[in-house]
Formats: sequence, structure tokens, C-alpha cells
Amino acid sequence: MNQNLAQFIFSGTTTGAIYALIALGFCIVENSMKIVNFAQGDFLTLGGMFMFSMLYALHLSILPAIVLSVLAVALIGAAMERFALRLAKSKETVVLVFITIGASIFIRGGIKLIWGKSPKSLPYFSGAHPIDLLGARILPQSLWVIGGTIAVFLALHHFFHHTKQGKAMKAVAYDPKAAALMGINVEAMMMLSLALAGGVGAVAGILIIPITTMTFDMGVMLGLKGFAAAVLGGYGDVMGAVIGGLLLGLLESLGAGLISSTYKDVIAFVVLLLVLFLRPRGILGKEEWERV
Amino acid sequence: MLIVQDLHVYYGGLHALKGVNLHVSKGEIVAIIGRNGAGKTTLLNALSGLVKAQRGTITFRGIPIQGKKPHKIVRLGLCQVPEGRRIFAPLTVSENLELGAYLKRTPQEKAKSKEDLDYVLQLFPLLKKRLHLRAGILSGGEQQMLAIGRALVGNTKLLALDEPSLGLAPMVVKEIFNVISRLRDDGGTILLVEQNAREALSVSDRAYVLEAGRVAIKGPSSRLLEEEKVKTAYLGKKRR
Repeated sequence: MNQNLAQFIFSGTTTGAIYALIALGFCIVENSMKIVNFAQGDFLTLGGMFMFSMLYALHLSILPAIVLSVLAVALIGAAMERFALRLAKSKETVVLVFITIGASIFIRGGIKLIWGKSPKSLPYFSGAHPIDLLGARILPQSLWVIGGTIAVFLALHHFFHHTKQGKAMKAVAYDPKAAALMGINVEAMMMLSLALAGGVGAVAGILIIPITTMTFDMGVMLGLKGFAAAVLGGYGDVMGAVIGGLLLGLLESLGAGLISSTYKDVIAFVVLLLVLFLRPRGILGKEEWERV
Repeated sequence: MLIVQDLHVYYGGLHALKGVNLHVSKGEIVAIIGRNGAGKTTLLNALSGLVKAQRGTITFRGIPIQGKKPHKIVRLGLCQVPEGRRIFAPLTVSENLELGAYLKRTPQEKAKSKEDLDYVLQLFPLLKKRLHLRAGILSGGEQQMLAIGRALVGNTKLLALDEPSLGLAPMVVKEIFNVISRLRDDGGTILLVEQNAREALSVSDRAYVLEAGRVAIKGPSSRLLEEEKVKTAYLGKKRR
């Protein structure tokens, strides 16, 4: 039993780390445009597909393949801002969010056309031999997933709290007009945020797909889970995204292992609902109040 | 420093500015007064590139700036303190000031930035004690001081103030206007948009009265203060 518990916690942490990475992607776009980017899950799939081609069509080794795949998806994110969101006549939130939904469908269609419908897999970064840790057996890839998530989290935390560009990005989200009057290039900042979100999405895909395999539409469910994690943690908060992701992953894994695997999604979403009933801003969400 | 010629702005079907001409020279305080909806804010936003002018020219320091993006205009040194202050409430006071100096990148500029910050904190000693507080919890007057300070730490050549006295207590209004005249004494150039005509005319060198998108009256502020038309329409009854 104890051994099982450790196993559930490790597998929950691995899935949770991926949810956290997707939640971080949502968080970045929230912190520049104040919109929900529903293409975030598809960035993950795209990252995996590019990685597949870099490895098996271009025969690159793993490191350059990762770098190029991340850059490619970042470029697609930037293009999504430049050629879809920026061209919208109306800057209403609803309109922009619908554009991201359109972009999501478009990306999935593109993936299906280019890479086909059959499931694909990526190789482990470093061997398939499980490691024994506290009585649980974990894949080395799980450690890559967790380590990668920590690295991305630290980088983003530093960016938003300790760099001028990060603060400028948050200023753009809070008040684009006032930000422009500080000399901040608002459109460039929004493009940068979509590029970052694309890059983080690609990292998530490249890390997790060796464990799960991928299909062209896997981004839909993962995107929703990541969105739920972001809401759970406090939408837009970098630390909240990580806490929300881990919590959701652990709940699913423990729910499935200890109660019933049939109800694992139900358990996770019930907890999400409860948290939101009691604390609508999420775990770390701040009350928004100010003097006018 | 700033020359505006025959400026027209349309908002949808509304003709908000109908051929405005004005100029601001270096070291001057120029006031623009007028009622709500006269086009004062539209004029400032057109200068800052936030709204598009359909006709006319705006020349700032010899460079035509109409149609330029807002951040490019700020880079040239035309900085606006928008109506309603628009400080970044979730960020701290010092982060707000840091963003005011966003465009300063080179080491020399950064060194200058420290000097400018000291100057701002000397103008508004209150802010010094609040540097690490969230800007959203400041009082209205403190927020206005922060908004002005945030514009002054940039490479500001011309400061455009939109209704700096709006919604503030009389004591605070006085303080803000004291700072404005202090800025002029220190060699600053200011374009001041105000509904509070009496204060604006007292502090400024010249003024334009905007009515329904046109300049109706213009001249030295001291003369406008005495002009019958201005008195009845904008200054209310004479104070005893």
C-alpha cells in the first residue's frame, strides 16, 4: 500500500508538472493580453510533431531538435498574434478568445494534414530503465518532465518579477494605453508573449510525449486540464499555475489509484469546482481592488 | 517645440477636432481649457498617437509625428500623463517609476535615470515613503503625483498633462499646481489640459480655449483671465 502510494504520488507529480507547464502558457498570455488562449494545448502537440520531424526526417540529434522545435512553435505563436489577433477590428475579449479557438482548430487541421492521424511517439531523453525511488519505480523521463517544469517556472518567475520587460508585459495587460504612454511597444509585447507561450507549450509536448505518445488532437483535453489548473491556482499567477497543475495531477492520480480510475476526471473536476465555490479567484489569486 | 496645424479627428461619425492650430515653445506652459466634450483629451491623444488624425500635421522638435505609433512619439520626448492617472495599480510605486524610465537603456541614460528619480522624489517627498507599496492603495492625490513622476523620469521634453486636478481635494490641487510652476522654473515645457480654468490660467503663460473641436479664443493667460467672454463662460462668478 505504501509503495503504491509513492507510485501514485510520482505519477501524479509527472502529469501535474505537464498541467503546470500548460497552465504557465495560459498565464503568460493572460499577463499581456488578458485573454484565454485556447490554442495553448495545440502548441504542445505542435512541439511534439516538430520534434518528431526533426528527429526522424532531418535526423538531428536530440538537443538541436529540441531547440529548433521550441523556436518553430514560438514563431507560430508570434505569427498567431501578428496575423490573427492583431488584425481583429474589435479588441473585445470575447472576439479575441474566439480567434484563439479558431487558431486552435486551424492548427489541429494543419497537423492532421502534415503529420497525419496516426499516433506517434518520441524517444526517451535518457533511457527507458525505471529507477527505484522510495519504493516507487519511475521513468527517467518523469524526472526530465519535473526538472523541465521547475526550470521553466523559475525562468518565468524571474521574468515577471525581476525584469523590466516582464513588468512592462504586466503593465500592458493592466492598461495598454498607459503602457504605450511609457514608451512600451504594446503590439511587440503581445507578440513576444504569444511567442513565449508557444515556446513553453512546445517544451511541454517534447517532455511528455515520450511517455504518452501523441495524436493530432491530444491538445484539446490537455489544454482543458491545463486551463483548469491555471484557474485552480489563480488565473495569471505564475506560482499559482504550478500549484494548480501539481494539485490537479495528484488528485487525478490518487483518485484513480485509491478510489476508482473510472472517476479520476470526475474527482479532479469536483475538487476544482469546490475550490472555486469557496475561493473564486483560485488558490493564489489576488483580490482585485484599487482606489479610483 | 510643438506645432499643430489644421488638425482634424473623427470618431466614427463624430467630428471631434475641426481644424485645430496651436504651438508650444520651449520653456512655456500652455493651457488648453474648455468644457467636457470640447475635444481637449482627443487633442492630447492625437498628439500621443493614441487616436488617428485624419487631416493636418503635428510637428514635434521639427519631426512630423502624425501617424506614428505611441511608443515612437514617447521616444521623441512627448510624454502624456493621461486623464484619470492610469497608474499600474498592481505594481509597486517604485515599479511604476521604473516603467516610466522604460526607454532608458544605455548606461548613460540609466545614470541620468537615477538623477531624474531623485528629482521626482524631491518634487514629491510623499512618494519616497511609499516606494514599496502597491500603487493601487495610494490616495487619489498620491496617484496623481506618481503619474506625473512616472512621466518625468522618462526622456521628457514636453510634458502633456490631462486634467491633473480632476477629482482631487482643493489642498492637493494647489500642491499639484505648485509643482507645475516649479517645473516651469526648472526649464520644463508643459501642455496643460484643464477644466479648472482659473487655476490653469493662473499658472500658464498662454492659453487656448477649445469649443466644440475648434480654438475659440487664444492669447496670453493673463489677458484671458480678464476677458469678459472667458470670465462668464469658464471662470464662473467672480470671487470676492
